[in-house]
Amino acid sequence: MAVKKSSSKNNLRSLEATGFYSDFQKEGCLYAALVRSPAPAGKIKSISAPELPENYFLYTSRDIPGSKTITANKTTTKSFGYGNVSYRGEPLGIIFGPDEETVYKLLDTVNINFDVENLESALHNVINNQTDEASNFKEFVEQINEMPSLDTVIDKSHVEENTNIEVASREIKYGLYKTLSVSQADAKIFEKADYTSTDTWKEKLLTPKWQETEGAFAYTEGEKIHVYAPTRWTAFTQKAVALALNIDESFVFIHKTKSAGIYPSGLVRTTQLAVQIACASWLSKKPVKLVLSQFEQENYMVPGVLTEITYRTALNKDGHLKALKILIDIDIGCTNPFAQEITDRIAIAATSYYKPENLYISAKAHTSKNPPTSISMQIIESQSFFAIENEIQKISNLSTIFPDELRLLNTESHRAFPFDIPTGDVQAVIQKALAESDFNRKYASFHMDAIDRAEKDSKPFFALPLRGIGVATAYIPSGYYGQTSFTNDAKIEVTLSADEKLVIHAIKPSEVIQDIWKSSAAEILQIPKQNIQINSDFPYDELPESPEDSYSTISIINELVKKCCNDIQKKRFHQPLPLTSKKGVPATSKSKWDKENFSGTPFYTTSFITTVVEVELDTYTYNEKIKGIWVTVDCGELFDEAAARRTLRLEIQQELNMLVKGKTVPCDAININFIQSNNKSGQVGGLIHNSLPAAFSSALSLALTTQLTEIPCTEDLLFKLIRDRTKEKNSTKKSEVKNEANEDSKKSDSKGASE
Amino acid sequence: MKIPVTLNGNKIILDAHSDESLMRVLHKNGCPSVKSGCSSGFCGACTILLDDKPVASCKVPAGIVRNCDIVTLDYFSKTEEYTTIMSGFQKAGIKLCGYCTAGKVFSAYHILKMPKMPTRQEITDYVKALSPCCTDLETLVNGIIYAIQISNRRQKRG
Repeated sequence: MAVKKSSSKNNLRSLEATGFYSDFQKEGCLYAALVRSPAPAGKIKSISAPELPENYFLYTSRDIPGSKTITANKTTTKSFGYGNVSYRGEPLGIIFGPDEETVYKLLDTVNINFDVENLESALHNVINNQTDEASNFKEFVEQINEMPSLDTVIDKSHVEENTNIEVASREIKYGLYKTLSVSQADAKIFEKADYTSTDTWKEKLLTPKWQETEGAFAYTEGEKIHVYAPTRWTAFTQKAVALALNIDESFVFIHKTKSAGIYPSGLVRTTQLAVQIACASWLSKKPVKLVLSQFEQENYMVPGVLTEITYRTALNKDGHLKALKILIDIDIGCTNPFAQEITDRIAIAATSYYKPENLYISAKAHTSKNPPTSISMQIIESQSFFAIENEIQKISNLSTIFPDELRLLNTESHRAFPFDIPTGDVQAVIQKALAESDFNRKYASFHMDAIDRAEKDSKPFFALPLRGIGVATAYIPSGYYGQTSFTNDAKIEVTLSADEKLVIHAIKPSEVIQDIWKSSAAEILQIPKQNIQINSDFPYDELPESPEDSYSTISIINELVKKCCNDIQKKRFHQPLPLTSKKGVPATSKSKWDKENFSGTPFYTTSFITTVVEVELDTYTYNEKIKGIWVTVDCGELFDEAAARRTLRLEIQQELNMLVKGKTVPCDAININFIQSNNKSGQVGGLIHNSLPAAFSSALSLALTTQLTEIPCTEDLLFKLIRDRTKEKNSTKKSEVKNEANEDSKKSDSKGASE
Repeated sequence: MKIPVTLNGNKIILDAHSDESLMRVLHKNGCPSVKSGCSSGFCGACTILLDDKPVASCKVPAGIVRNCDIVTLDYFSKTEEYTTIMSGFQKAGIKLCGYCTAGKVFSAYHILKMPKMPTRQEITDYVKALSPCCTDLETLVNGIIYAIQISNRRQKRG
């Protein structure tokens, strides 16, 4: 036992990301490509490559020496597909060799044999459906054209019967929805409401083309295997590789590499790639590198999940939200081990910080034939914010209550409302952004212009540039207490040695955060910054079990670093050095969230943002231009304002690439302000992504006098919206004319009768 | 195909297909700074100096670089110009992610070499297409302006 412990302490793994996986090279490195399923369904019988030259290899699930699956949160993912195919593009094998170009050419020669019986039965079905014999070529062609489609006759018995399986759900009821049935409550609320609105909102996340595509590099060293991958869940990757290769974890060395993506994934899908490349390297005993192509990255490594959020809103004349009925449909693709957590977080954010009198949320996550998805803590709620903010803007337009008034009216707390979001000074943040952008004046002016245009029915595509302004508010949470997948076990250890050197033992964060930690520690302990080091080495069997996002929520760790330093400072002159202080999240914070009833304070803290966007749309070219973006943020105590400002500006620039498909929307001016409330300090990263798309679509909707319900925007979508609006207008006009004509004829009829 | 070139000061012969992208060839030949980004020639991750001009190597077929002088960031990072540029970037608070460094550094180098002092707008126009993966446009422009200042000061001293 003692021997094992000492070897474990010496067998360290660094959780500091060094370099990019694609930069690592070894002599004799082989290049790999994944053999993917060409069909979305079917039973695989065999995979072979008859023309494989010397020094080129093909491995499939049959070759994996250990476990053929990866299990996370009771969700199983096949390392390489076998049996029934789950989705089009599912990796079925790996082919590799010394020349990358040749490897890609060999991909086309791989034979993937599906169960022939099914094909035969399909052909039999086609023949059976064919009754008349073709007497000549013309008839034969006609018969072929009349033949039933393969979809209707193909034997689908081998295909999983139902790919649409509900894997997670959450239902939240408040107010009348709690006491009455949903239909009864609906009838009571919506029939008597002053204003009602119903719409469905969709926000699809795009993959930026300039980031490093996913992949991994592996090589063997005797009994050891080294894998380089941009993982953020090292413990899990290490375990999965060990299980797949059927070796002890102490022989697996996962080297965490940097990730240049803006939606870092690094969880199960990265682990799957790491396992695939580790198997290739282990079986061939050669260094192997796999770099996914841009096509693979865009199609099989999609960020986030596909969500459709439908709102039914009832508003009173005084501007109070009478009810929000929210139906959330989440497509998690083939698998996602974090389905419950995603569902819960989307459901919580679906009301944002608003507190309606009655609330009903039904969120359901289901599987599909799409590629598997993952979780990115930073953008998990963005789709909800896009939906709720657009809905609020829409109901504001309907009721002609100013958007800021409507928002502030609905932040007032009701008794026993399920969620208490710890936002800071909401009013100050909204008013500052609106004042800076001169929002109310512009909004009123553009709104009147839009009504005027709609009434005059002026042709929108043959007019001056259209203008609109939109506002959106959002928060970004830190430290979610309702985690279903992992425990929120953020812990930190700080040691001050006799030579006044301080070591913070934690996963290394970004350089900006490192600087903040060092500044805080130097100030508290009165030691030079150069004396502070961050150590990210862990024994291989003591790696943090949770993914880094959930483990090292920056704002929590910031607080813990301070607490540890204060603790050491208190003891420093009474006790001999070295002194070590260990801290974790206090249990009292966790108890604010009631997991069973799904209510309370779900987050440790939040940062709050209000974003205003002014848009101009050229009606001839369909080119959008942003005249200005005004942002006000409350993230509690600001450690480094310049860095926070740079982060926000960078995120705005990144977001401008994602609003319209295939285009970067130009922006004339960016104005950023901070308000420091007494709220605990939170992160700024992710705030723009949660608010800018909604503000942009609200502004564009106002400019177009129609409702834009999805992002990213496309020229086709704009054209369709305008066309449909014009059609609607024409049909209403026609029916009005018809009614008038009917009334006139009725009048003349009655006149004639009386005469 | 054998392609004689001067790579980072050394005369070597590259062994590559004539239509293979120079980016892949250089990366395979021990130049990790040449990264694969958008593969459309915009993001800058694969930028190299080809006969002292910054070019996107993803769009250059290996067959046309016969006898050319190629400098990658791996070599350029040892030069004085690099130190000047990085000092300017540091002053502006730029912390590069490492993936886009070549595009940003070589763009700054090109601007620094311009015979006349460019305006802020000219610098912005030159670098605005680069990927916004770690540095926003305004901060990058500030970094380049600081680099110009540092370079001018050094030249005066020299």
